[in-house]
Amino acid sequence: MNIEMLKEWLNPAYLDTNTIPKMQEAFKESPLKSIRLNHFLNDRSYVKTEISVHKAKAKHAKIADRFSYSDVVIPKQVATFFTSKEFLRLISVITGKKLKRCELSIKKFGHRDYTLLHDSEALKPGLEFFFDINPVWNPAWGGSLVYRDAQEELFRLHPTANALTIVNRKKGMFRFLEYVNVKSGQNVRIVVQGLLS
Amino acid sequence: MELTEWVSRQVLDNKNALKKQFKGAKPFKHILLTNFLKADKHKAVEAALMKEQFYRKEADLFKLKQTHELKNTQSPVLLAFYQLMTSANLRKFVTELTGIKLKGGIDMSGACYEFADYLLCHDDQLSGRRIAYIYYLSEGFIEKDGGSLVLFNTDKGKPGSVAKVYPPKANSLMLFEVSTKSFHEVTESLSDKKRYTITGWLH
Repeated sequence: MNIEMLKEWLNPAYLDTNTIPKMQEAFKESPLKSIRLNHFLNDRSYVKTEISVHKAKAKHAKIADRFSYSDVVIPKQVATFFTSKEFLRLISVITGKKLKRCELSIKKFGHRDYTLLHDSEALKPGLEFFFDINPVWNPAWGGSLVYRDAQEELFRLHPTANALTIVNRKKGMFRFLEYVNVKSGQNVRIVVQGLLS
Repeated sequence: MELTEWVSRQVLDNKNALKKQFKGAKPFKHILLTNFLKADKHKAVEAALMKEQFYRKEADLFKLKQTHELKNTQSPVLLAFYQLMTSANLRKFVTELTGIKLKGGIDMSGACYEFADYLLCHDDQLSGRRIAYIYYLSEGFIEKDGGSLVLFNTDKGKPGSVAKVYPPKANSLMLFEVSTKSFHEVTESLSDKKRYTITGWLH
């Protein structure tokens, strides 16, 4: 692993050799095979990422019975980090899965944006991650990422700035991003999403 | 049940004009019957619905409050409204108006949208459903209050641009044909006004 590259981006706590086994265990022990790493990037890298993503061009896309959000053109540095061998290696180590590819996208959700369950039905099950860029967020504004199966809601991730969430989405497990309602005002949540294989 | 007891003359005497309107409506067959009930019946149904128990419902598609199925209501007024909507006379009238044959089954519940509630785009298709209906009870809504019924154009089988926007209009009955094209939504409620409706499907 190219530690120098990770050092430049990550919160040093995640590079501590004592932290790795804890993350591995937390992922393995969680009933739905997921883990959330708070304060994932170091402050400098988070701010840099936030600024570049906000500056990037975005285009609104909507198929009303499936989704509504803006597709953000991925800034080069962000793409380089989140698809790097080093970053994928770290996820591999935590999850115990061999990874070769990361299909990266950045989506922006403001007032009236959402995705519906319908939209994740077409996705193959597999490992995925979400990295959150947003101001301090009140869950009452909507915008939470909700995982469920045919019977019930499994878990709900509220937008948390600088948190990386890794989920092993199994067959029959779907997700949607709750409608962002009028209470959110001008606030937007941005999600860096990676489908891993 | 005699329709003249409940339904306004304006609706009953205009069948032919309304029929044309339904058939020619875009983006899919629908009609808004304004002044649907006689004024005193509208007021009675509204007052009765306010006293029903509502339960909060949430899914990817919606956030709103709903009653149980109204066929089980304890309210004599709401039960009478249910009987009106299931009556052979009303079924005959709706079939003449829409050209759609009905078997006679019905779903009916009350809905209440509060601030920031919504129902996102879907087509309503489910086995047996032929016509969707919404009876509007609340007065005083304008478009900026939200809670409008939006009908979408279809583009290659998917919902496309917005075709029609109907803000809630008290004592109106919306009817639309359920089909692969009937994409619609209820826009987010943007004011503190509570939007009460009775909705369901005719089978």
